[in-house]
Amino acid sequence: MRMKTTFQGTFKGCIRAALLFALALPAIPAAASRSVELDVQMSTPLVLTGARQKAYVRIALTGLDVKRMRAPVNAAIVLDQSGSMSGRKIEEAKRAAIMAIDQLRDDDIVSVVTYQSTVDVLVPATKLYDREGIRRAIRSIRAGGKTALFAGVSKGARELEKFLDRNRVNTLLLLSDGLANVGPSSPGELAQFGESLGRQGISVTTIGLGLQYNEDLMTRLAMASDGNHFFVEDEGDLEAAFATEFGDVLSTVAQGVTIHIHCPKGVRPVRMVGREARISGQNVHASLNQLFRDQTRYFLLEVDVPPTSAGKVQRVADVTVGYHDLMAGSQATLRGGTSVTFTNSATTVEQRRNREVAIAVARQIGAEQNEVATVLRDEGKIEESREAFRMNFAYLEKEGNRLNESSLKQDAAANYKASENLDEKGWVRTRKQQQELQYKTKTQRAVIQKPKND
Amino acid sequence: MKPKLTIVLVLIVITPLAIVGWLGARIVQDEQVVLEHQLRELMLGQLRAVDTVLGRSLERYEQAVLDEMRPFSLDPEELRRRGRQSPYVVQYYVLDDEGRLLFPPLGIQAGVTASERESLRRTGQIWDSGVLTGAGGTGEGLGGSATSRRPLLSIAEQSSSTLSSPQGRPAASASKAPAQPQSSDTPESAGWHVWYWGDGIQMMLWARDGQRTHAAEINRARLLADLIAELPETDVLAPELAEGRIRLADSAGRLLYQWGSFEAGDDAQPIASLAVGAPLGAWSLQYHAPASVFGSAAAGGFLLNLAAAVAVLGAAVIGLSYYFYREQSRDMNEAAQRVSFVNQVSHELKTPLTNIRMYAELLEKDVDEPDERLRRHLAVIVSESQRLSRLIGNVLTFSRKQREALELRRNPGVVDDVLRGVLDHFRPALDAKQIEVEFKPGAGESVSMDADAVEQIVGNLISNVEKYGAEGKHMEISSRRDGDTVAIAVADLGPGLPSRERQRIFEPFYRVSNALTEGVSGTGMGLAISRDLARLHGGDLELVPSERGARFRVTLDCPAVEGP
Repeated sequence: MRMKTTFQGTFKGCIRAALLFALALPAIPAAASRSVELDVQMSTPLVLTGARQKAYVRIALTGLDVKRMRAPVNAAIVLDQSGSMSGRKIEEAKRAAIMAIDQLRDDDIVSVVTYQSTVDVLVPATKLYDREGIRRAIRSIRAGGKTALFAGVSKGARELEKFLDRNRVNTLLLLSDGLANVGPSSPGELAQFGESLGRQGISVTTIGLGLQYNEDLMTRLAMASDGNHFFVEDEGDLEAAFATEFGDVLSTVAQGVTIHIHCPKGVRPVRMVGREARISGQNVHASLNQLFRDQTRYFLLEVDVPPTSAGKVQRVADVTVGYHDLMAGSQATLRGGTSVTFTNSATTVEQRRNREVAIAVARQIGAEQNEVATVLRDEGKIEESREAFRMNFAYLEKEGNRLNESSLKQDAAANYKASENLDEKGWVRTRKQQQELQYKTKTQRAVIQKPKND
Repeated sequence: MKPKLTIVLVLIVITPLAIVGWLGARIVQDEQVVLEHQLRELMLGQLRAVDTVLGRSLERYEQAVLDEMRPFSLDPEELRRRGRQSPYVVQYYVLDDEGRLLFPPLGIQAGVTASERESLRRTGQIWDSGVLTGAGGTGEGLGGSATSRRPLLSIAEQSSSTLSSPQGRPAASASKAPAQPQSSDTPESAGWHVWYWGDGIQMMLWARDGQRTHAAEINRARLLADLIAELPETDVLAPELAEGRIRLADSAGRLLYQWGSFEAGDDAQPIASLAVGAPLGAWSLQYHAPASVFGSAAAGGFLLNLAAAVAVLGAAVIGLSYYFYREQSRDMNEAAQRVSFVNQVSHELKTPLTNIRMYAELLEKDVDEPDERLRRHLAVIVSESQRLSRLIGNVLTFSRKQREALELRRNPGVVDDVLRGVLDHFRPALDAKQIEVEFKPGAGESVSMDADAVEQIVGNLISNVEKYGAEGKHMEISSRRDGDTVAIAVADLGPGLPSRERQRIFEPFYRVSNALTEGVSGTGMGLAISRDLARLHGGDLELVPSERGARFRVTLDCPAVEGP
């Protein structure tokens, strides 16, 4: 029986067909009630003739502030209560969890799962009518034992499935401070599980606490399910991390977002920069689980454009976005597309370069290079890694100056800092910081907002 | 007597308790074995129940995935769309009747996604072997059973040479009955195929649709997560499994999930284990419990009953023993009182008797010669009063011995003088029975001795001759001194004693029971007291074998003394 409901919960996109219609219109003006805006832009709207050109298409989705209301939430909080959490860590985690639950409304659904060597469904999925009971249950958590992370997420997912509803924001928040040592523990397995959850509309946000957790496992689980990932070195920042995540959750305007990009014949979709996508011939499929109010998340598609004579317009991409509008409570579709115009003038090409897209491209490439540098350090090639971080710093610095963009300069600074902390002692922290940075860059998800008067 | 009785009583208490305890221990031991067996069965039962849960979950999984696969499609775009959206399936595959892959397309064709290429790498061996269609020709493939409408139950065994994983582990293809196929006109069957790749077991659900085989590669992590979600959790406060822990382990023994409050070590040996049913046969369920689970169960039940039984029995036996002890003590007290009474009476009798004797003897001297009749009467009085004083002497000696107050009063004296005195006392009585006395004195020196004791010993012996040996009409008394030892022999020519009585005559209150003693009064104390006295005197009293009659020999330790 359960399986049936689960399947009904699967968001079946309606991206099938409709390709013919999409070709005609450059962009459909958003209706007044639309809560998502689609923006498709080329990095270089003008390209030189004569040779095949590499170009980037940015498909940006922005959550709009149409109605001051929010969708009901179905949240599972999965807390690590292994022995390493004992002391201040578990106390802060409990405080943060209670604070997060306090932000929810009575008709929201919450469940709390704790895991150590075994798993305990401390608060089975329930509406928040008995807040004091839930708080009491959370306060009763004691640390001790090993880390059955996979089983904890399994049970948390099952609690979410009980009330899986596409009109609710379905989210699982996982906190861990150590290595999973009971049950599956490879990043690959967790990513596979996360992908499956993502397809059901469940996003898993992971919070790595301290310096002992496996950041690959935590980032890949989050990435695969399109959740967020936080690196919280000091347990004092846990509350801020929970607050940031719940701030996102409470501002979700759309979920189950599917993106279908069709490239006309001749234009070759090469790859999706920084994100998973399935490229099959001229078609590219990608998905996002959630979009938040006033936040823009984008995809960056690298394409190969064939040479054409000057003055000619070449259609590059037609984009169809399907999503479930949480404000309207219904499925919605957006369409858009973009083209390039060929020219002989290299200067015009430079002049017409799209700054926003260029920033996105620079950041994504920076993230990719950062990943390369990280792999080099993982292989023990400290000098090569330092060189890679330095080069990435130089690249981001140059692009930041050229585009006059502070976020690129910040990324550059982070890369420089990483190059300075490649020794055994510093690397544990640096790696977690870099993984988080890469993650935020790739997914455009919120960073921890610490209280200003802290 | 007292310590002996205590030992006996203690034995009476301990012996049955020990026997019951031992038997109980044996029973407990046997019980333990039975209990262990039963507990193991119980645990296995629990594991089977868990296995059933897993089996049911898997059936639902099958149904859910089969529902996703239907209606069967050959359209690559449709298959890709399904593959992108299904939470349970990683990749779909379609094969034709000859086992050729129709989807995903092989080679670098237009439209093949990177993940499809990757999935072909994982599953290439399955398609090459033809195990799902039977085209490979090894074992009992799917083709053979495909015409059958009933669900497949057979397990297609593959030789490891044709289907071995990169890790060298043999792959197995297990066909298990899936959910009942939907009513359809085309013959249809379905099953699981299991192989090893990467992290461990990989699973594929296949279904036959006419000429084609459709297969769905299962998202293994998700399957495991959903199975875990179906298994119990561990509520710290009210655990379902408070005394144990159940573990689910994969083919490599890797722990997948566990529940229960008992903390088992990583390398702990399970008390019971069970292989999970197909197609997850490589997985196992293990039941861990503390070693004390057997002990505590036994202690809780049988051991308590046994302890109670032993306690009750012990109390009963102790009570009974105490009762006997009380009875015995009362008898002893009564006896002691009697002895004490007799003792007192004897004391009271002694003084008047002494007076009677003294005056009778004085009178005997004063009587004129011719008055034979009066003299005879007096002699009887003297003789009888002597007898009575001997008897009283015996009684008092016996009671002193009872009080352990028997002691010697050694004084210098001559043994032969004592013997003469005794003989003089007995003369009238012996004469009356016409017993001829032969006295051979041989101990005329002055020695240290208790004259009263010697008199009592010899008196008792002569009295016995008078009583039982009168028939022989002869008594011989001899004395001899050898160093510090004085030996006195009293012998008669009477009927003697049967050999079996020889030792027992020295026991107190023992009287030879035969014609000899008929009609003769006696207390049965004489010989016993005489022997005790002789032994106290550093010697002994023995019955010496002789040709005729009885011959007693008394030895006494009598060191010589100076003076008269």
